[in-house]
Amino acid sequence: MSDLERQREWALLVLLAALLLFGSPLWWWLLAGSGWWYLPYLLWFGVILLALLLYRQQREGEGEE
Amino acid sequence: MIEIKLLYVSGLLYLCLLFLIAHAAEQGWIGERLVRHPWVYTLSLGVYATTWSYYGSVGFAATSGYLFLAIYLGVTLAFLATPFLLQPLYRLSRDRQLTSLADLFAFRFRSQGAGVVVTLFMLLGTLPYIALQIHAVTQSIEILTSASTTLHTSLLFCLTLILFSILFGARHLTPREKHHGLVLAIAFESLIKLLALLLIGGVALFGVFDGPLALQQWLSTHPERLQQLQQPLHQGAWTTLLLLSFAAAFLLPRQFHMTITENFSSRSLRFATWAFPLFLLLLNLPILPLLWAGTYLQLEINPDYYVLGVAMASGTNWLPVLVFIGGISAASAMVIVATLALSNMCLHHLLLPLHYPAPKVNLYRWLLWSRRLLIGLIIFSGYGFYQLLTHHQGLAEIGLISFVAVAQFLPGVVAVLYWRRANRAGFLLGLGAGITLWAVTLLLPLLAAAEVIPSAGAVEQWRLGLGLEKWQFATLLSLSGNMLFFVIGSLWAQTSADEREAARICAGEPGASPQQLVMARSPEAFRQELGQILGAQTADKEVTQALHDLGMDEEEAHPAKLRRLRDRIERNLSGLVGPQLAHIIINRQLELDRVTKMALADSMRYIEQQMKESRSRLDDLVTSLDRLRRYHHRVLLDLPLGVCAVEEDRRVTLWNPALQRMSGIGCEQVLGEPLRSLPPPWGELLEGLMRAEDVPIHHLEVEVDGQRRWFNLHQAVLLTSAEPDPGGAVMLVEDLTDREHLEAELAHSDRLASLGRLAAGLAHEIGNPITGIDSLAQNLRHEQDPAVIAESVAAILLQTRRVSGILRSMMNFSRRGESAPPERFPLAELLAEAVALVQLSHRRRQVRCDHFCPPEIELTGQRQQLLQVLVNLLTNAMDASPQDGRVELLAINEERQIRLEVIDYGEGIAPERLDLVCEPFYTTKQVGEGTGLGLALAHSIVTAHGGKIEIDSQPGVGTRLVVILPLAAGDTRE
Repeated sequence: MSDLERQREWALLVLLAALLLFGSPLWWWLLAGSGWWYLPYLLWFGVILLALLLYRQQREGEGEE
Repeated sequence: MIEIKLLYVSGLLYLCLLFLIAHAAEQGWIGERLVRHPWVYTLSLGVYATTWSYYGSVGFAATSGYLFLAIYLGVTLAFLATPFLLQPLYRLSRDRQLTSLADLFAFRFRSQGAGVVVTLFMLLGTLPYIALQIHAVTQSIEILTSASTTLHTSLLFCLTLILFSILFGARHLTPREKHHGLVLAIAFESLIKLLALLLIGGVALFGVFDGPLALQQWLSTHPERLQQLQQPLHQGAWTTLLLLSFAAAFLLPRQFHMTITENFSSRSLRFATWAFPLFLLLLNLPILPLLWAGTYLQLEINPDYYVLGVAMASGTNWLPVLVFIGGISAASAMVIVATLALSNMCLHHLLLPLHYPAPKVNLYRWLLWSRRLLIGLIIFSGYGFYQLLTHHQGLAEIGLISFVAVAQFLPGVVAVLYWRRANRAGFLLGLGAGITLWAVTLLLPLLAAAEVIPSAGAVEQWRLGLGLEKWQFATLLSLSGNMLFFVIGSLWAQTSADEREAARICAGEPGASPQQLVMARSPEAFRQELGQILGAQTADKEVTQALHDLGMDEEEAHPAKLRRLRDRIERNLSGLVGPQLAHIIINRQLELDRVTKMALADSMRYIEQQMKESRSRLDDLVTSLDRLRRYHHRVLLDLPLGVCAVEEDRRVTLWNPALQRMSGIGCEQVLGEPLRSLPPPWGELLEGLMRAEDVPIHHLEVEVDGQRRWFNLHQAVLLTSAEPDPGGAVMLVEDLTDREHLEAELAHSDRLASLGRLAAGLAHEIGNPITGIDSLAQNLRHEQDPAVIAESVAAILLQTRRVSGILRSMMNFSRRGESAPPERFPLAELLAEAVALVQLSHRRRQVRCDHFCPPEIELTGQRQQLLQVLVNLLTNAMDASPQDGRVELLAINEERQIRLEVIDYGEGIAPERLDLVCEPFYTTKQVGEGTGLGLALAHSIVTAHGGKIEIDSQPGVGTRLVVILPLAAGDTRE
């Protein structure tokens, strides 16, 4: 499997994870009854971190670092 | 309360600052490293956050709780899908110079109609959004000045926006160029609104609540505030809003423009995958604290403007002005970028098709002024829409109308990238259904609320019965209808060849190699043809630009390269006048020759070039095929044999490096040329090979550059059952010249070695006559009788002739024989000479050699070499025979061939060694008695004469070695 295909697979995985988190009842379940008003921001930040890690992995693969 | 003049002046100064930043970037006063930095690109995408985000998010949070986050989480999902959605769109738009969504659809579906419909609907869908910005700015002025605004305020704002929109985006003569200044200015605006929001959020958190702990404490005493956030989640609008914002992230005209059109690097797009969602997260951090601060302060204003209210509650003047500047930032960025994008679309798809300027008009200047006019018209239309609004709607409510509108393009975009079956009929039907349902469910109720049209109660009743929000109902109905009609239409209608080709290109594959050539035969001819439509100046500029892009010169005349030039000009023109119009102009002015087809070699090179240039990601199968193609190509190129492939009309498609070296003819010289045009002797040689029936041709002697060379030639016809597989043939050329020279050297060495072995016998043979001559001469000294003297003289002469004969044989045998031409000679003489030479050896004299040959047989061939064959065979036979043994040498005439048999009654050859005896250096003799080359050389010489050697042997009985040689015509005397 080429690097490009691997990167696309990881990107798809992160996208699906984000879709599952934001678009499914999981989101409501996590927020319901939570006293942490900033919880959505934390979860959102977690997804952004995943995307950042993926970006860094791609750059390493291209030898840019 | 703040003076309106202060607000206007600060707003104007701010916009001037933005213009200065843009101007500095374009003049190069700001380093390119900063201008092209990925963070600048990411911040420029912040144009997504308009006054709806800046002001309206707080109001949306107040009415719909956490739902406001869906507007930004959908964008996050869209950017996470970059490899599948945004990257392919970017590549396609860059490769084909597509500058808008309308260009994209017009290109994909090869339809001017698609471009028109998309443009009109995009205009209609964006007007509420422009109106929203004007509405938000005027409302914010009213709040800050505590006074109602007049018509002049909003009009003045619009005029200012028109001026700056033109200054930012309609200054260049060639609208194709990217606006680095605009990108930097928009990035600066995003930074300002982020900083302003974070600052006012900080004021809310620390100024109103005394810090996060105090806020938490207040929330714990007001749990209903958190419940109000969570409750709307359960009403099902969350997923719909995610979908709408997902679509809006790249389909809104301003978003497409900044994400795709103004993007200058793929790396920036990948960077934005995480950086842009981070920007949005930071932008939304202050929203909830601002909402609760406004509630805590019991502000008596629309929650949409709590941002301003909290600023005003701080008691300072500068904070509300700064917040106002942030609002101006948000509004102006949206309007400027949206109108630039829309004006481009209107120009390509509405204005140009309706009224194309005359050739004598400078096209670039005409396009520039048309853009400026369109910018003014669009902003005024937005202003007109603003006047229609009842001013009771929330900012979010107005914004969602535009979101649902652009979501109608989502099925089309997905189809462009992933569904080849989609065609223009399906697209237009689907879009038509979506637009209709959008208008019925959202636009008309808005106009009804403004009392422009009577209220349509039925639809509203239906919606209320389902318990859905207006925009939720509209989204579900319009998108469902859109997709349904899209699929039905695409399956029902036929897809044209043009659409199929465009579908292939959009899916990331290189287009099919063009078959037809351009009728215009030079760049100058291109200029003349294009000048009839574009004008001489524009045509000249476009052709020069395309030549420069492709690295071609003015004298280019190769048909395949002119075809590439044509395609490049079409691409460049797409960015200027839109893809559909560019396609029409090129098809009309640079017509294709429908009869003459491009040579296969040129098509292959076109494909190679496209695959290199397109930089498109190839999916698994195409990558594997490409790898295989390269491997096979490499194999052919690296073969040590010369390879020449031709197509059916005998034009060269492949000329590998080995053949280049053999012939001294470069690949570039011959590709695409007919075989007959190749320099001699190659043209004639290869043409002859193509015509030959009896292939392969072995050992063909050819004179190349005055030197004799030998080749084996092979030919294979490429069989095809039907089009589109190309036919033709492949020819292999094996250069035997070096081997010929080597074999000749080897044969000569073998003869010398044989001579060496014969030396002792030779000395003996010469010694005997010399002794005889000596005796006779001594006797003659004293002899008086003339009869005796005469007899002695005759005997002396006989002996000297005998010595001369022996020496002549030896000298003839030792000569290099390969340079002598074939000659005709009596076979019987050859046999006798061979026997005489072999019997020079004392040991071999003890073996009787009987030879028989019909006197009438004459052979044509290399006499020297055939003598060597017989000497080698007789030597082996005699060496294998016992003392006093017998060897027979027979020549038998068999129709068209001669059979020479060498029979010995010696030890024979074991069956397992029979296959080895003809191998070079194989010998059973002691060291010094033989080199093992005799039979191998004999085999080589006989084969070269078109004959063969057969060996039949039985251990203990003897060996029969048969040499079969063909007889040439007339080789038997009558």
